[in-house]
Amino acid sequence: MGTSMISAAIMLSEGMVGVEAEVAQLRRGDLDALGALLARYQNRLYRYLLRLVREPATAEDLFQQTWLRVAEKIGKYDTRRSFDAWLFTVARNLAFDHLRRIAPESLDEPVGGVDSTTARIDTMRSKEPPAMETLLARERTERLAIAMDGMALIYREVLALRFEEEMKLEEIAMVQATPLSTVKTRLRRGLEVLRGDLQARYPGEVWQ
Amino acid sequence: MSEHDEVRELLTMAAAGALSESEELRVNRHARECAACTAEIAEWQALAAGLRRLPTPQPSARLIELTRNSVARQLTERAERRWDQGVMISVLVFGWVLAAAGWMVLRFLSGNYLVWLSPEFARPWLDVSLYSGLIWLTGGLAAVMLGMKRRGRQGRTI
Repeated sequence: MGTSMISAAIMLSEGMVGVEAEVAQLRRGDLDALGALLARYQNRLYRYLLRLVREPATAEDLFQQTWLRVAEKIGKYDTRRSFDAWLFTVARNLAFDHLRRIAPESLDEPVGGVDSTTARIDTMRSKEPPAMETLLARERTERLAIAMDGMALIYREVLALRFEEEMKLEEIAMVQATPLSTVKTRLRRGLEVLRGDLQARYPGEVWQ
Repeated sequence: MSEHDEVRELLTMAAAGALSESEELRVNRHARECAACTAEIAEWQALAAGLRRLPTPQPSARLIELTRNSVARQLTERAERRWDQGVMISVLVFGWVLAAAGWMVLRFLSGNYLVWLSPEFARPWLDVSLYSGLIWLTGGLAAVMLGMKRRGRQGRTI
């Protein structure tokens, strides 16, 4: 237990050193560093953008724009800040600008918690072939994905940043440019809304 | 509000790993004696675990390649723009220095033959015309050089 925690901590710190080195190289205009950062963040960033906009084509467009913006603004990035938080802030700003143009009402703090717009639920489903032994677990996961996709943007985002991206609350506050207390409130409310929605859709289902 | 109710308020955040150390201790202490809260914690934790297990959609290889190419193009263009700006500034500074010092050199080389080139307050229009002309000539030369370089780059990319 102790050994695994230490090795995890070493891996984490090596990862951070790796990120810092790659960022420093990118600031000098090194294209290899860009490739390394892209490889490191591509899945997480794409998943986050898809979680926000829910359309693969738009997420792809925003993904490209985010990296162009990163290359353009990397000189202004404060290296004392978390690069993860900075990168996701850049992506978020672009996604929110896009959403503000096409559906400004989606950015409002929701009264209920479930999004009124049609959720494009197929975009987040797993594409792996089904296996009998995992069928039940997969069904639950898909139900959870559907419920998550139907949530209001502000809750969908905070849950994605906390549970999918595993960001610290302080980092989420940086990305969302909100006080820590607001992040906590949104997180709690988001979980409550999600559970309420699941219970309403699938009464009697045990999420264990 | 009873201890049970207060702790229940914290259970959601416990599953999200967002409690302070003291809050966490309080929840654990209460949960050891309260079956309802233990069950509820398990339910929230299962939901949190489900969220962590949601499938991760992968961006296509084509998108990664497109992104890499567009950013590489942007970085190259920026580096070239910086180089061009550097060259232009250097040439202009050189032009100014040349213009300011030129008359002294010319006088020295010509043995006072070209004394009329030296700037004098009495005929400022001539000095201004001569030295402005020299600066424009240098600037024009720099512009032609940069234009030729740019055309060469475009030719290579096409």
